Amino acid sequence: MSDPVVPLVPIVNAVITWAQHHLDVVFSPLKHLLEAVDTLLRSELSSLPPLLLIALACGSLLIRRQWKTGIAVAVAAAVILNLGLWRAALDTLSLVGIAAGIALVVGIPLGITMVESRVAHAIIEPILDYMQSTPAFVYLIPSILFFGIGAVPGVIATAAFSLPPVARSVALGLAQVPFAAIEAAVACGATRLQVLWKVKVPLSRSYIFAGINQCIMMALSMVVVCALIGARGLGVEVVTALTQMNLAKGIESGIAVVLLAFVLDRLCRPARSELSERSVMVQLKRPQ
Amino acid sequence: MSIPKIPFGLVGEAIIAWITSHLASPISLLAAAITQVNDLVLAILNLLNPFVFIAVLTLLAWRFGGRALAGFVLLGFLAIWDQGLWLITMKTLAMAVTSTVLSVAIGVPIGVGMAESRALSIGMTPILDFLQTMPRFVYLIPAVIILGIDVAPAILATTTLAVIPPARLTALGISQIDYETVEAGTSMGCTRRQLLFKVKLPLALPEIMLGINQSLMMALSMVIIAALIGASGLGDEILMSIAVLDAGRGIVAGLAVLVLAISLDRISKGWVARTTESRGIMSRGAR
Repeated sequence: MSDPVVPLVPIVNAVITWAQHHLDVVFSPLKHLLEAVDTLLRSELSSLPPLLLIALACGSLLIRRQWKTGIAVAVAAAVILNLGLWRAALDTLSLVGIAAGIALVVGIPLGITMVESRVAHAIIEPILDYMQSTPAFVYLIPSILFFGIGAVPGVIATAAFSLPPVARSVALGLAQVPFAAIEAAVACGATRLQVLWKVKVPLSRSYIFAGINQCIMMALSMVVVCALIGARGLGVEVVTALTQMNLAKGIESGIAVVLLAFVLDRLCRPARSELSERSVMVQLKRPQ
Repeated sequence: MSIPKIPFGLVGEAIIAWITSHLASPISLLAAAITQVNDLVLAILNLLNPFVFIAVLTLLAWRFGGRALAGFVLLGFLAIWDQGLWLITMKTLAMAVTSTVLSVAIGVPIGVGMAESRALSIGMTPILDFLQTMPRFVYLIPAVIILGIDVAPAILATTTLAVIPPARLTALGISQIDYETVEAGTSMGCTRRQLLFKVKLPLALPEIMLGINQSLMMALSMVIIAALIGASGLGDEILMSIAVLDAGRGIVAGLAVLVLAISLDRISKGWVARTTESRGIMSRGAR
């Protein structure tokens, strides 16, 4: 095949070189900051005795009277410990925490803005659409460009990947608040901010929680993929197992990832009736 | 640690060893069948001249998504061709289509079964939940262990993931049908089979089609990741560019994936909306 008419690859490379030279002022401090947070979080998490963490996770569910789930979570965490993948799981957890944190901090205000402003909605909606159509793998590339190889590009890619469900679910939740409730608040003299914080947000809690849950699950799924670009954790175990065709290791690390997903899902799932939550989940699956 | 490690790995290894030694012929048959289907799809896609393909796709985009989408599809696919990524893109597309066809063929009957039988619904729901929570990477492990590194395991892993939306949405669609409609069918003397094929499935069509759309999108995203276990195509291109740190090449391949994903998504969504409209079925669960 002849050379392309539009030299896209060289153009992209030129843009990247330019960006790396000129935007380093922004990216380099961000990178150091995230690295520091990750190191801190990891050392904190791993300094705690595993059994204490398991007890905390289990206890937080028992307090919510989810006896069976609490015990299942404790067993799942204990199995990860038993497999000798505890450290790797904590590394993954730390990355998930940071990435999901960024996604929430950016995503929730984004969702609120989308509902409150028509213009913002018109701009953000198609962007979210594009982001959700983009396969997970593709997020890795721009991230490596600006942050190199390591944990930080993984965190950034993960945060970007898990952002759309948060923004979507917050927007969806706020939009479904019955008009009558808003009207009642306005009639009582609530300001716009009061309507938002005291009426809309509480009434859309279940949507917001569902969004947070989905965000964390997507973050976990992405963090594992990020092992490809040098993020630590369980993903590394999976990748090495795949490349070495090491069956036992592959099975064990796969089980550990699934168990971690189970633990996180149950911990971040608000205690409400299964049915109503599921209907929220179904609606979230189909943003339109 | 004092407690001995639970031998998940060893047990798993033993099970896999047993499977690979005792079920070798059905497994290789399955792999061969999957590869055959994929080769067929790829051959059909490559049969068309790129320009004919682009023209057909643009017309489809125009019909189902309007002028803006048609423009996007035309420019996007011309750019893919221009970048010399055409054959690679077709490989990815063929794998995604193969997986989607397999998933729909498996998923829709599962969904029907879930809607018709309580026991199956109770049995399948946790399995589907579990499959959905599993990070995508993990799907690759069993596939690669049983089938090795090739196109067939990549498609198998993709199908396992992409089977979820058709199953779920078919079950949802059938369970949302008004009881009165089913009753009307029964009182007209429909047999159970007639009820299913002439009342329930047509009424659940919007959900089933949404299932196909979602399945296609999931398959596309998974096929890219499956490059790790030997799926060639755009995913492989991205993986290579990450390995050799040729960012430009990776980004261009990434853009090609994006063009493919958005075109397929919008066209199939438009198709769902159009069919739903023309049949006069209210799209209830379609949000």
